[in-house]
Amino acid sequence: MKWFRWIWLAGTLALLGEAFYQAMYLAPTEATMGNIQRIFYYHFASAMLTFFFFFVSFAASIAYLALRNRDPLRAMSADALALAGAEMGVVFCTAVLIQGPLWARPVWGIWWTWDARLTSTLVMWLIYCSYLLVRRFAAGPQMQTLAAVVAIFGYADVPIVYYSTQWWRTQHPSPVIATGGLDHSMWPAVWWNLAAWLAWGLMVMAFRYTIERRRQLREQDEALRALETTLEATPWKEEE
Amino acid sequence: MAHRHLVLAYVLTWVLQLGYVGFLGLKWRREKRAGR
Repeated sequence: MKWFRWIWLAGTLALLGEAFYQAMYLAPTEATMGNIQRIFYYHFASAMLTFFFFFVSFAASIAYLALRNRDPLRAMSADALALAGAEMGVVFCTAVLIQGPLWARPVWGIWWTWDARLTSTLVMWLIYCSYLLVRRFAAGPQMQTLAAVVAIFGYADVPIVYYSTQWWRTQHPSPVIATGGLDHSMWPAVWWNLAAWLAWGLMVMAFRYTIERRRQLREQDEALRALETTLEATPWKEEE
Repeated sequence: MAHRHLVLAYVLTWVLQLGYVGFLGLKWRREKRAGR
């Protein structure tokens, strides 16, 4: 399987190179905003992948809750996937929250405004940060269950973020992708960036998942060894 | 200003992504050592 990882890495880097070339050089310059509009290609990709990785965390959290009593070993895998998805989602969401103001300042004249899209995105980021804090600081066997519940309820904010520009009047523009408002010549840059960042995100998420699984298995081993030591040290009394 | 913001957004995106991968690298090393 080692060769597969190297092929994936090489493919991802090639995709990222092509995506950069498409966004910066091949996509036409937008008429009103000029070159700053090129932020859109990775801003959009980052936003879509935020939704995607939070969905992974959401689905894996449901799987964890469903399996934790029936099949604890598979539940632990689901828990590791939920953590990896949430962390990757937070990274992409942070990128969105950095790129957005940098694009807004020259175009809107302001860094930030408390409109529905921006505020709900910030709330989503805070929810998943609190998920990671729960995982980091909550102790005891109920930690995973509590974290899974936070991930499931936290996901309720995702559709609010997505539809916020349609439900409320916002400073943030309405979707151009779903409504066909994007010029055809800009589509290749959109797809290349989406594919490249997806490949990157999946690769990094797989790495995070592997680390978490390793940690879980080490903790299991340590617990078993501690139990063995305790049993060996216990003086058994023969029943008369 | 627009050009500077475009470059800054791209650079910060990569700093963030590579920073996270670096953090995972350290975590991986710690886990490997703890497993020995």
